[in-house]
Amino acid sequence: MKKKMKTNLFYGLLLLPALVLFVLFFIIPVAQSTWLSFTDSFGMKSTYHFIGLDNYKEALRDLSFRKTIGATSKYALISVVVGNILSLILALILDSKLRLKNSLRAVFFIPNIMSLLVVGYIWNFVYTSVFPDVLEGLGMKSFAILGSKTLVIPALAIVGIWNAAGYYMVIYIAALQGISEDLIEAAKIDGAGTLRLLFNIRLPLIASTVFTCLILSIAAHMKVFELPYTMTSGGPVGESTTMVYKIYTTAFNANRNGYASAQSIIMFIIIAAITLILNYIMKKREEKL
Amino acid sequence: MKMRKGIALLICLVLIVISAAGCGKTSGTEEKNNKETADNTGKETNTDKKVKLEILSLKTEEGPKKAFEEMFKGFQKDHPNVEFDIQSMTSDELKTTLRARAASEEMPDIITWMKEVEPEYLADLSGESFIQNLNADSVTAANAIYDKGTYAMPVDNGYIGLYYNKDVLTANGLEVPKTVTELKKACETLKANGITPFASSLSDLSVPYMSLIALFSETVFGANPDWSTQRDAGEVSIQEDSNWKAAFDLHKEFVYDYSDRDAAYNQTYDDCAALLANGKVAFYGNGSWALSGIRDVKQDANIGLMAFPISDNEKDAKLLCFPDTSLSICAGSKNADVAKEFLAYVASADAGKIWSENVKVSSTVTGVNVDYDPIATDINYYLTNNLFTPYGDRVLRSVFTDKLWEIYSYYMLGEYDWNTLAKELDNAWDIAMKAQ
Repeated sequence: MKKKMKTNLFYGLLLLPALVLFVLFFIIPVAQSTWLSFTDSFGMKSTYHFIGLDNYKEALRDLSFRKTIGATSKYALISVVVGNILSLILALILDSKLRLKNSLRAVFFIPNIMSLLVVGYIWNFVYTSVFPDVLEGLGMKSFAILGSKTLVIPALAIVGIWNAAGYYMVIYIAALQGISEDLIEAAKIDGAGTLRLLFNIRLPLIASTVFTCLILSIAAHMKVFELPYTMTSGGPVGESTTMVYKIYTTAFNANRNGYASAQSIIMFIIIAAITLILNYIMKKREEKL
Repeated sequence: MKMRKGIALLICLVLIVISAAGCGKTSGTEEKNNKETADNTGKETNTDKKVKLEILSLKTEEGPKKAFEEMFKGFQKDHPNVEFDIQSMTSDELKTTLRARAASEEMPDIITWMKEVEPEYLADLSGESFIQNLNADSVTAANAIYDKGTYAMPVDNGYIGLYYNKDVLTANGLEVPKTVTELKKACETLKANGITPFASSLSDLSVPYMSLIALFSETVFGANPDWSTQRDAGEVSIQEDSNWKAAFDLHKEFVYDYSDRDAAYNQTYDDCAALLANGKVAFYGNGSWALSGIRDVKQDANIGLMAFPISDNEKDAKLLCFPDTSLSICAGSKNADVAKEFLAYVASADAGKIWSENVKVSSTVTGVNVDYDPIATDINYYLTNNLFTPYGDRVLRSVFTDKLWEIYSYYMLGEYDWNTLAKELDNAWDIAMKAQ
């Protein structure tokens, strides 16, 4: 018994450095941010007061903040659905016996290693200079895609997808390569065609990877900041103001640390809720199998 | 086995100690440095020991950078022991840096003033003799947001107004418009002749925002300098004030409606400067900082500057002329005495001339009149005839200006009607009062 306790203590001590870092750099900042969300902390003022749920009440009443939830959801929905379908298609293509598949994998992955800020500036140039020139070259009337209330979010989503598709493609390729060749061969012998192989063998076998990619991409796209920051400043008329961009302006333009913290906590709750629901669906599905 | 366990435990302990030490506020070396710096504050040591003044500046353009370098050299003639460490960054970066530095009690010696820095972090310069060298109105305007005290030492007077291209007006048989009716007529003539009257950008909303600031400074604060105080007391409101509506309506009618609305989303701040310089447009609303961009495109562009006409009485048009760059000494500076000596130098005629010549703005130092650009004559007209207002967005609380920035384009683009806009702005004013 004493020896077991000693062993546990030893392992506990081994965990301690990681635990200290985790507490210092994660638990304490999160706790402090949560605490700030209940205060009127403002800019560089060193003093602030507890104001209960006032910041949360204000956020729920604030039309412009509510609008950002809609804009972010719209952006995330397009990016997650289209992005994952595209990544999966690319993975399926590059998992086949293509000659240049290794080079193509690298090519599709390159946008992901670029900073989203740089990507934003590049695509801003594409949308504001290249795109109008191409339209004019084709004899069509040029229009400002980033100035369109209906097109601005899809335009940003295209950039988000372009940036992230390679990353999810790599995960899907890894999952597809994990499928036993015997299963594929057996299905082929049984007369399964390409589509049948895809929908009845491959996709069901990588379903858990699909869910993982969905959760990862939802969390990533819901936190988009760089694209509206570099490309639209949240416009036109707030149509592309995402939650994180709004939190940024609340904290650094309006200097309302407390209110911005409350907005962050609300965003965390939304992302956590979506993730939990997806997790629940995934577990239910696994139980059925 | 026991020895391996011992080594593992020892490594764990070392890691914990390193983590804890890394999070400490002041390291041993820093303490030593601080002690050395503290020794430098004594009068005797000011001339004997090396002192390094750290300056954080939000002036990233070449002109101010060059001016600072020249002023450092000028100051070092009499203070060879003083070195400077200046870091220039954007206002957002400076704000973030100062927040972090304030939290760790490591504020620099001098900063370019920003309204976001609370007075508790700044030294009160009231009573300092060198402040007397400066234009008193500029000093008052620079410190308008404080109940008392002088925390900002204004270095120059900036402006926001309406640049116009004289050649374009002449080529179209137009005089410089002095009233709203004349401006409207000029715009219609230009439009009929295939010239876009106003340069504007919708991809960079700061461009049309500058014109709005100039307009409400004229219609609201030009007519009633005490408007903010009255609003705080609940005596007036944006919803009920026709002057606020007039500013937004004039903004929409001219800056937006008479710009190339299709191209505006693809145009940047630099594009607008180029459009005016190259005579592709007749008018461009922006501030003193835009002048160098215009001159960079075309050095000899035949341009002038005027206040936005806001009525049919030309005397109602007042130029927004305000202290732009101000310097502040941080309250916790270990080199406060030397920093004050440097500010005294900045307030001298020599330094005022250096600043004005390089930055192309008028100096706040009394008696310094540098003919830095042909448009200086236009600005002097407004200043000498008392046709200016010093109250723009810099005297407004950041919670309010953030909301104004967020939603001003909603009205311009027809998303909001006046009542919705004014209600949200009034609400923001109330929140700002509570928050700040």
